[in-house]
Amino acid sequence: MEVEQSPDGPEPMNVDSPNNGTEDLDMNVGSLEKFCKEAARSFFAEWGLISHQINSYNEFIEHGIQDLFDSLGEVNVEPGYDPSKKRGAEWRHATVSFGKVRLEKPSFWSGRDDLPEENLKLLPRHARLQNMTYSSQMKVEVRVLVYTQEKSDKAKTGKDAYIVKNVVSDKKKEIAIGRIPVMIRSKLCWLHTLDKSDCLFDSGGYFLIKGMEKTFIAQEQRHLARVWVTDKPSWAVSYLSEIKRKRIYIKLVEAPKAEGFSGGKVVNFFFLYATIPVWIMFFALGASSDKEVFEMIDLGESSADLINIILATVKNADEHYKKFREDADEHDKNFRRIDKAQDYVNGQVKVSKFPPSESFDEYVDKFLFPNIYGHRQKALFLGYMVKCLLLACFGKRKCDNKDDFRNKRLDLAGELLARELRAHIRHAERRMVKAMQRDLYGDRDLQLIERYLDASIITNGLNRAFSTGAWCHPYKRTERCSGIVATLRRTNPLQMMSDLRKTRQQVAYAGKAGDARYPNPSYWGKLCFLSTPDGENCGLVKNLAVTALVSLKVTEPILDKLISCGMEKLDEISLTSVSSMDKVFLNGDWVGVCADSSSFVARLRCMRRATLIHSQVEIKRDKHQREVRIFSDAGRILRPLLIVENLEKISKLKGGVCSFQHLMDQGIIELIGVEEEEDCPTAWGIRHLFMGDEGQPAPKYTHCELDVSFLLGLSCGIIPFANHNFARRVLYQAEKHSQQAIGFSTTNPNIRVDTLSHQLYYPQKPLFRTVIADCLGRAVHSLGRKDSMPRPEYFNGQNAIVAVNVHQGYNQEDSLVMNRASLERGMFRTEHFRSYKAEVENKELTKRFKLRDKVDFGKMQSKKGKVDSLDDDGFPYIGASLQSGDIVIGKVAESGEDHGIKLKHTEKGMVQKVVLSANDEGKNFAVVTLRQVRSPCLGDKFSSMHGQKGVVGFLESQENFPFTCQGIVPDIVINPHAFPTRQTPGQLLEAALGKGIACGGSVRYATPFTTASVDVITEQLHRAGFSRWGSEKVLNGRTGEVMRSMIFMGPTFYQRLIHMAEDKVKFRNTGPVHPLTRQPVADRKRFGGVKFGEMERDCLLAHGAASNLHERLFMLSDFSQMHICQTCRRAANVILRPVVGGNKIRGPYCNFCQSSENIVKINVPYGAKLLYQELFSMGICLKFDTEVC
Amino acid sequence: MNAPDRYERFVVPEGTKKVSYERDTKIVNAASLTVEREDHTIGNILRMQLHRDPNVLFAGYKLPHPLQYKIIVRIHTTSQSSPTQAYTQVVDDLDKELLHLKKAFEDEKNRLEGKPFY
Repeated sequence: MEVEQSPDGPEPMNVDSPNNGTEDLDMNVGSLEKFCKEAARSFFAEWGLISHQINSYNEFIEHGIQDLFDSLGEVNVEPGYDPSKKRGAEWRHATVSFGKVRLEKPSFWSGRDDLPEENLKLLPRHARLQNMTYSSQMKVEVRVLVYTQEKSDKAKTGKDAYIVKNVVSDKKKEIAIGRIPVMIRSKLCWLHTLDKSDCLFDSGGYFLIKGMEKTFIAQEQRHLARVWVTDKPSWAVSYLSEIKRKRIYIKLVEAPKAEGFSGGKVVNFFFLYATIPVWIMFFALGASSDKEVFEMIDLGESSADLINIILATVKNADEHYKKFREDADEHDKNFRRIDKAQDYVNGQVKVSKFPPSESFDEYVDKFLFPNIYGHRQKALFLGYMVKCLLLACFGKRKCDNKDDFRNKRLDLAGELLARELRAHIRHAERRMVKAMQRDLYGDRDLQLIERYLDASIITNGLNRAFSTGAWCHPYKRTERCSGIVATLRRTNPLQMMSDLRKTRQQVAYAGKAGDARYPNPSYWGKLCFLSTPDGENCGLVKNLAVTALVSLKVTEPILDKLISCGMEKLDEISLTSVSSMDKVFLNGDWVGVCADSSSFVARLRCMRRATLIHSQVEIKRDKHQREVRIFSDAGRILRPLLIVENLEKISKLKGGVCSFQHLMDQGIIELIGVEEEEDCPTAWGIRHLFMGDEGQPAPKYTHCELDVSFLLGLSCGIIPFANHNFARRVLYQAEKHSQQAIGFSTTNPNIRVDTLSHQLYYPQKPLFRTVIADCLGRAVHSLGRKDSMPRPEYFNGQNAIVAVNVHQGYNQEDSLVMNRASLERGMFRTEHFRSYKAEVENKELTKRFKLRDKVDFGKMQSKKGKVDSLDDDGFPYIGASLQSGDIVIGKVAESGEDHGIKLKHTEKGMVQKVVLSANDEGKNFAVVTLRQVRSPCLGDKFSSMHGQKGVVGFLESQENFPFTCQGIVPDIVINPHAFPTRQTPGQLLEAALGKGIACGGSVRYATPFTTASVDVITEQLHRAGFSRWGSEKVLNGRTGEVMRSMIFMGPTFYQRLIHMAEDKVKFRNTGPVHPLTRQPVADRKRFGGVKFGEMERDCLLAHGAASNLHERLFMLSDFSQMHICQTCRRAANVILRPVVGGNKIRGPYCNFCQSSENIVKINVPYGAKLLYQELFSMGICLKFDTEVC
Repeated sequence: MNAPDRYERFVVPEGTKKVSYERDTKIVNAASLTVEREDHTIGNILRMQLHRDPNVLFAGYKLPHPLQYKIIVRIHTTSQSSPTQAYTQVVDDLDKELLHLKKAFEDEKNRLEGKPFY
């Protein structure tokens, strides 16, 4: 089939280049759009959809883990100072420090060395089959220094006391410190080098923890390296950090009136839990005069109100300093000297809640803007913060919005693993220190370091974090948070992929979310603005847009390139010229100034396009604040955009698009971040570049989207005609139905043992195409290029001929009628696999573990269920048909006890495979997989791609359906009432388009936002010889007469969802009861009943249906009888007692009255009897009044 | 799960008659005929043919439930005829008509035998 690019594409359009208008481009919209598609295809080929996961992990194992160990610092082990154990020798100290980290590739552990390395490779499939963790050994160089301290005596040497270290031993050794889970297809993974996976659809990006597939959900975090201006609860500027001590706030507060001056607002500085007047802090940082400080703040021409605040601040500083030095002379009460100001700051800081132990210079260096060097620069930054505060306060600067994505970063595998790993290393370290301390006494020898540093703490800790999902909180040490790792779901490839592309924002509790749940304009193109789950996570869990990438930390130095573009460094420039120039910020830190920011930014961008600067660097020019902000940090979302001014370079590309990197090198496409995009007028598509709105010339665009549907997420962007549907319906399809559609999930089902998996028998491709699915899928015409790799299929379902009609009322209320003949031909037939697992202990026999207790797989006659299909080893033979209640895996103890696993009453199937394996805890286990083939039956759920779900209401014979003159019979009949209120004309368009395509029209795109127009669709249908609007004259299958109205019919893509009647059906008349209460049990698996609860009871009460109620709650539930002695009103028991004459009779007897007279039998619920007995056992005796009724 | 067996749609269970007759107790010359294991295909033709009979005052059929594989044909005739008579007459007529149809079809088929389809 030929492919048409766009409805009006082919006609050549000689248009003027939008930027200079003189040179003719021999390009037309059609060829440019084709180029865009090619570019997108190469983008996906190069980056894939999960590059963010893998790149982040690679970055972590290459640099992050080393940085982590480097940042740990030395661990000092003090001796215990226990005098009883001194033994005359000096106290020994030890220092442990970490050196180089090395990660080994995942491998099996074997006690022997003689095995070839090839056999020891631990591949993901081994881990998956053996329920192991796919992890690699971390080896770290550890240096242990043991020394004794000698304090020199001042009296002896005459010098100040100092400490001499006498090194006793200094050992360096590489030890294993734990195992770190390996991401599939990362650089540590075997599949990375093999470049061939056992599943062709698998793109990696997840972890294998105890055989479970776990993935990280990208965490949205507040961007910390940025000055935050807030107006709530009060005006404040903050410089945040994860570490509390490094957080700095400048707040505008009401000056205390009592201190005797005019009042008004003053600016205060909060640092290390102390409050300091900001003016004093400037002097402490080396300012020499009030004028200099004022210049540092750099307010320019300011209003009187502003000056008043400054004056009040100065005055307030004076007052505070005077109070501080109350006892000093009058002339000493001036802080305007560096030592005095520093004294004051020291005084304030040292009396705070957690005073630092360091000196002024040290703690300023460490805690006050640690990324900025030099006191002058710090003072300038402080001045900038004060300026921000005052400007914002007077409405000249906006407050920062924490929901704006430019103020957010995504934490991915690298950051999250580092966070968790650090916590576990710290834990291991604490244990090490405790254990080492004991051995530092004189009488003991320090053992090998491996003895102290327990690798299992880290290994198990990481495994536990992954399995339970409780992850370290970013800065609260005692808290754990959830929702960071998720189990990868694999109903279909689309679900797997969208699980890997989710982001999540943590909120403390639902009420605190604020505006976080609402879409923000900054999501444009980075996050899908449609697909978010409904319910509690609405708006908090988001999906990355399909072309969105997450930036990595750019490690190459960038500062010298900034200087070459005309930046002047901050420490080389005089204070007066700072104010006249534009500020340059690098990752939130003020690094320099430039004279002309627009040319500076232009030059920088040129360098980036010429690949002199890393392409992931983001450059933003803030015209109003006269700032240039450059970011090179990790976690920003970027996306590729066409650069309009370089469009003509496309024609110079020879041989089409070879690689995406090449396009970037050529400067045709660049990656744009959230903040930079604010300044980029971006055209919606190629055609918008050449065509203005309503005859007006096109605006000056700098960038152009590759395709508008790339603004959406993966599951949204493949919905045909999504732009014609009501948003909620699109959301239903994107978030629910597409994830539940049974498809072709993996290509390696024979080496997987998932507890539940489904597979569609004949998966089909839809008739229409969408740009996203096209670019992600195989190239249509490979043209000699070898592109035979199967790609994961994102459409999961089949094309059904759907008629919109009522069918005898069997498709009311969203049910649908299906053609039985189609189903018998194999439509929507699925295979379902369920695995049953059983473990046996693989322990050696000891005294405690006797032979009698040893349980092993085997066959024995069982009382529980049938064992006919089992072989002697206890496993069923392949192909055995097991019915519910049969034993699947036979397990027998030596003592003859039966431990077999029985099928629940809802489960049955054929044996597909039996896998015997052992996990890394040394337990042997077996997995038996049962297969079940299911053809659609009454009550199974189906859905089109437009949020139109329905259950099968009736399976009708083919002959009873209406048929067209061509003899076409619908496979599915849906009710026309599904459309008016749901507003999903997209489905009708899809059917009409599909009909045109199926009847020989060209394959067309149904991509959201660039869908074929109704005219095109109707014209296509008309050409194929159908009615323009897709309806057909049909004959009634039952009577053979022509039906009076026309019926709309067309092929529509339908999905079979995993909810099937067979898994849900629940019925019972009598069955098992709970042994304690004798009421029916609840569970479906145990053949339980349906709860008749309080609300239902109220309902019957309100109806006055007393008999019904009595029957439901008593007769059919826990009917029981009791004997009551009417004399004493107590319960009488049935006992065996002797009577005169030597006989024994059995009957009710009141032990209290010592008689069997006057005893009546009453009907009570067993629950009531139980209550009576329980109370009786506690010494409370209930009495029953009885009367005949 | 609890769906009826597929052959139940067309195999008349042992011990039941293909067609059973039940006279209407209230109206003379009216009766319901239950035809086992048949559906609209027969029902509709029967009804159609019955309507052609001038002696038939009322003729209709129903499929009581899609999972009960039988149809009920109700016939009300004038006193000149009776439901059974009308029914047998109709069945005979239909038989002939279908034979004729079959013959016409086969003749046409033979005429076109060996010729190309278009």
